[in-house]
Amino acid sequence: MFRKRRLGLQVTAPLMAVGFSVLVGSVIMLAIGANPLQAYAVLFGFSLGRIDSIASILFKATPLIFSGLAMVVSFRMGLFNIGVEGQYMVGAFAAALAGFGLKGLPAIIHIPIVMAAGMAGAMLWAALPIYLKIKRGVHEVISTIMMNYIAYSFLHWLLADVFLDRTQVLGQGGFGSPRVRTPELAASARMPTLHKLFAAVGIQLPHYIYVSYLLFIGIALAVVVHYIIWKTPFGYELRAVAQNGPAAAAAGINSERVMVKAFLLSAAIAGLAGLSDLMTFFGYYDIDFPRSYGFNGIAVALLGRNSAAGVIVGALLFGMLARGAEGVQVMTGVPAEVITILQSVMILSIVVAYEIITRYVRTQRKKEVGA
Amino acid sequence: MISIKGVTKRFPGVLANDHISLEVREGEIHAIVGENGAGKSTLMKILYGLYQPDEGSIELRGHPVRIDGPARAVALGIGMVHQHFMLIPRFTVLENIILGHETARFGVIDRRASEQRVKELAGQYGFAIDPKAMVATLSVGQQQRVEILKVLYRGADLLILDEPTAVLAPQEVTELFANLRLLAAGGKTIIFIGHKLDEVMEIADRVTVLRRGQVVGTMAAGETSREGLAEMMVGRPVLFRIQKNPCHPGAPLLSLDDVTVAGVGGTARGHGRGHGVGGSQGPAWRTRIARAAVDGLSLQVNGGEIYGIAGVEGNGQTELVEGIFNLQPVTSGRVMVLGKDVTNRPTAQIRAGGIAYIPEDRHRRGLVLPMSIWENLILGSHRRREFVRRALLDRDRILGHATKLREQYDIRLADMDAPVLALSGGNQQKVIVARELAQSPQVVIASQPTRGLDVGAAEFVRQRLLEMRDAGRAVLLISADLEEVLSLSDRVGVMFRGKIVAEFPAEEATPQLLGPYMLGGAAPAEMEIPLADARGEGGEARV
Amino acid sequence: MRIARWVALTLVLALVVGTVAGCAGLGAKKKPKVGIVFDVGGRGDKSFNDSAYAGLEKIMKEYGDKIETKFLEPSGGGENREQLLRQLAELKYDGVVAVGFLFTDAVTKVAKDFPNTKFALIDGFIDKLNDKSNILCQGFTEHEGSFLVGVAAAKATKSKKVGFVGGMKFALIEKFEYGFRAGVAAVDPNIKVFVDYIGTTGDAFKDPIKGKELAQKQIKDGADVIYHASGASGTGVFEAAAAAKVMAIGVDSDQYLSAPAAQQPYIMTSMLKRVDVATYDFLKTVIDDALAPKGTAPKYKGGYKTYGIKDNGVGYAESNANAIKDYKATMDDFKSKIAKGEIAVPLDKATFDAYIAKLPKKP
Repeated sequence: MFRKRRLGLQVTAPLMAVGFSVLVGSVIMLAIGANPLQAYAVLFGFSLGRIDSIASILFKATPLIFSGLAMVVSFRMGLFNIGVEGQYMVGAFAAALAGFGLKGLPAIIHIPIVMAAGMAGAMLWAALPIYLKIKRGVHEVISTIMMNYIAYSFLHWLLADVFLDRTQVLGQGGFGSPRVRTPELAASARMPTLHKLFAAVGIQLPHYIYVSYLLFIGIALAVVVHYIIWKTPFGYELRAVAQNGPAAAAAGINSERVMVKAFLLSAAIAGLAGLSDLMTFFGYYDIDFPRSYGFNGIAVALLGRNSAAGVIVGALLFGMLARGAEGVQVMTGVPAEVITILQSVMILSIVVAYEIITRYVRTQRKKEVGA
Repeated sequence: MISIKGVTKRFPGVLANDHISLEVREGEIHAIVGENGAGKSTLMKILYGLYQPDEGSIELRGHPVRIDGPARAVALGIGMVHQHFMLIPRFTVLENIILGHETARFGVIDRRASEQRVKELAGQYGFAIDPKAMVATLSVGQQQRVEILKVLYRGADLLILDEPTAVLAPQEVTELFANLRLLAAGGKTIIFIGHKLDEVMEIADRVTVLRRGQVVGTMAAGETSREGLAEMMVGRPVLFRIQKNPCHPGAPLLSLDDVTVAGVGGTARGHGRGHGVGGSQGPAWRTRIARAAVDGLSLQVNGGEIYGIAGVEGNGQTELVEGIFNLQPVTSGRVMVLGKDVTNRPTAQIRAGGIAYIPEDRHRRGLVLPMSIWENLILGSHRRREFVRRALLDRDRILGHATKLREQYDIRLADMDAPVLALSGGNQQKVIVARELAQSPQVVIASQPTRGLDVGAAEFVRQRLLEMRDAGRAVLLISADLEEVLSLSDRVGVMFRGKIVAEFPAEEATPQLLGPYMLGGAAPAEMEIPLADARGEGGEARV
Repeated sequence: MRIARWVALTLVLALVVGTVAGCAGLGAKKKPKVGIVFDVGGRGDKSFNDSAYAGLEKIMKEYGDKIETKFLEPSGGGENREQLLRQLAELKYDGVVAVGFLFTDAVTKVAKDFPNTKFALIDGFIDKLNDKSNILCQGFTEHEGSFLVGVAAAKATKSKKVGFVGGMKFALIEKFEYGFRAGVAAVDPNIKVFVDYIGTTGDAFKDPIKGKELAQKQIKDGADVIYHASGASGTGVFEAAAAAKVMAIGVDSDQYLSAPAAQQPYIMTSMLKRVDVATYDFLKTVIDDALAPKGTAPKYKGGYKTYGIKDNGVGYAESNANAIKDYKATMDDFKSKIAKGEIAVPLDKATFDAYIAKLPKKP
């Protein structure tokens, strides 16, 4: 009885939260003289009513699945890997190096190498924070935030001075600006998109859609992460250390080793977050490489209740909101800032709604178990 | 004085109080006993206004009252002395007592008037306490007295004491009881909640026994016996005098050789409790911080025997156990298990050597509360081959193992997947005992193994320890419950300030003999106690 | 069941939107539609994006409700840029301005799919365009403008030492540097030019503290005129200059106008990069073509358009007339020489070295 009620709550809560945020958003829009009905109709209609929108949502969700999973692993370990942000960028850059540096490989070998490079780069970036945490007691939040800043600048330097694509020059007569970016990835390092797959089931995706097999890799990884956390001895240790370090230590579990492994695992997953953009959309790493997948990953993990399956849902919701925002911006007079507020309110209310439920469930359980 | 009439309190799925009726007479000491979950705390929380009854009423001196909160309870003259003290260590006794009830004159606390009143109260009930002493410098027993004074200061006529002896050394218990008798003689009414039936028999005028939310009976203490009470509580006869087979000590399985543990953080928790009756002097307390928590301690536990360590808590027991398992570093000395030196080895390696650990704080060291019961039953053995299949935990086999343990150790649970925090304290402890003993260890370190357990569960755990001993294993028992140490052990060592200051064969050890050693006050200078005599053949100690 | 209801609701919504959108399409007599997609950061940057918006504002004033306008701002890099351009094109916008070279790939891709929409790409360069292309790359000869303010600096300096503070060190900003140095050398090759860059990242354009430090260092070394090409970091340069009572030169827009009154006397001029002019020109041709009766020869031309000194695409600001009145003649002299092609202003190290080599040596 108890479990059924809890399940019911977990389904209704996000719906209630969406309703609440729609309400808040409406008030804001009325205040600035925009039409909320129209805006929401566009937000949902545009993002869910067109095949290219659906595909775009899947593309936008792909990196967030990875960064969300990276956060889940770190949260489950009781660590706050704020550094997913820097880690995925360094990972993407490392992957780009492997993508344009190696030539003549078949795709079946080249693509895994690029992905491995992405993971390795991100793990390298995570190594120092976890070392400082274990050996010097430096809180990982501080060190990873710093590493994020270092990553931004370090990558820019690598890009502008070391690995710049020298074929990008000014137009005739000093025209325009040269592109600041790496050389292009070899064709064998590009991740195939899902066009053929969709065509096989009779859906023709427009050519400007970039959703790729990384989506499926992300979903498969979610399953793997779920198994690692809940079914393997390592995941068992991870949870034990996170939830009661002293008891885990008394049981002979080496907390430090578990923490290092979990942190590096989180980073390795983070290293895949930038690959969707790198291997399908851009084909090179440039100064316009998207930021904040790491920070959005935190929100996705929170939305997903720290579960691997929840991350997929959260990432899709994020993708939907982002796609809806494009439509709202283009088709209504609502400014971009208001849309950002709407997105944030929606995410915030879902998180709050869940928190309320969690507390409610906890008090219920306490009452049932009795004094 | 106070009549409880048909009070019923329901929580979802649990009937915590089921039509409880009882009457407490003016000026009596009325004990309420019962197993964990019998409904004692719920009833007391109703009396103190923390819960409202679903049915029934309470009458105070013949008038029906509604106690809708602690403030109302205090106004009605009902006071509660909690098990965990609510004192501010850096305030003086006086400041703690008047906190929240300051008598002010022209907006300034009228210290002199308050002090006068506190002194009067203390004198009236025989409390030897200096109102100006800082609480942090007081012994546990004295802190408890401050709590009682606090309640009296607020004008309580009815005092509720929640397991007041749990934290005290035997001598301190005697003093507390003397105070309580004075209070009762002075017209105060006392409700005494207790576990230890000997104490209840000693202090109470009348006793009410609760079982599963119902009153089993109320009787004068003189009309019943410890055994009688226990049977009423548990619902079946309980063995008190533990049947022990004769001891056949074998080879030493655990030897501690001049072990010192600095005690990172451990001392901070322990000090201030470490000294007994007369120790209210600040400086003495301060100098003690620098001392190692375990200070060159040596002992040996042989196969087939239980070695009990008696002592007031905070004398290095915690650090000793943590040192054995390398949860705190051993700064000098050697820990030998089965003849192998395991000093400061990785915990996993020490444990793999055949040594089980029943920690004193099961929530901190023993269990991962949010994790499921079956997961907690394999904590530490989760990587054993039989539990892992194709890199995944083999849930079916683990559940099989868990179910076996559940039957063997009589762990009462509804759902193996439920978090272990959903279990009662006794069943949580059984989870730990089951897990640790299932490894068929050669050495068992049991620290406060029955703390907080009710009579039935405690008896069960003690039986398991005896079984280990009879099977030729070495058991090191550390307990603040002197009675437990004396009844289980084959040899008893008294730990004071990080050392074994005396050691006796069980037959010779009595509370009267051990008490002074536990408080460190009996010997003129405890450093000079000839340890070698006490240790060697477990012979006599000089007083 | 709950979920089913939710899905149904969404479908209904989608339907409604579709219908509404459809009706709107049918109802209105076709007005020309033009839009701008800003770079990340959008309006309010007191520089690039604001300048483009000024161009749009001028168009709006001129055509009023004869046209529809829209300006958008990407939420991040990558795919989002492309999607915004694509949405505008899908809604049959006649002209879209993409502000900044980061739109290069997005414009290339979207323009291919929507031949009826014209795109202007500011500062970017796309290969192999011609008159018929629906892309117009708009570039600026920042080195020429920098040359002119270099002349002003050389004239103004008493210590014979001037400074250049660049933002992020890369080819675009190096155009500013070499143009400036050439202008200085044209007046007096013996004048010393201190060159410093704030950094190698995009953040170099928003680091006023570092900008101030570098300017202070140059002032300490004797510089008494400092030209900055460092975006928002330039406010630090102005602070340092005003504090030391030496001259500073602004960039992109007329920074005298946006500076605090206390600093204004020290901002002698600014190198102007007229993104507003470029934006306005492009949108105007597109709108006029759309409004013109069928058969009229189109005014729009694709390909490349350079905004140089000739076209008033770059120049110098004259708000602080007092500060430059003595040098204005010399500056205008050089201006016309450049416009006539008598001086080829260098834009990178190679052309600069060649330029210096040809200068007549002065004692």
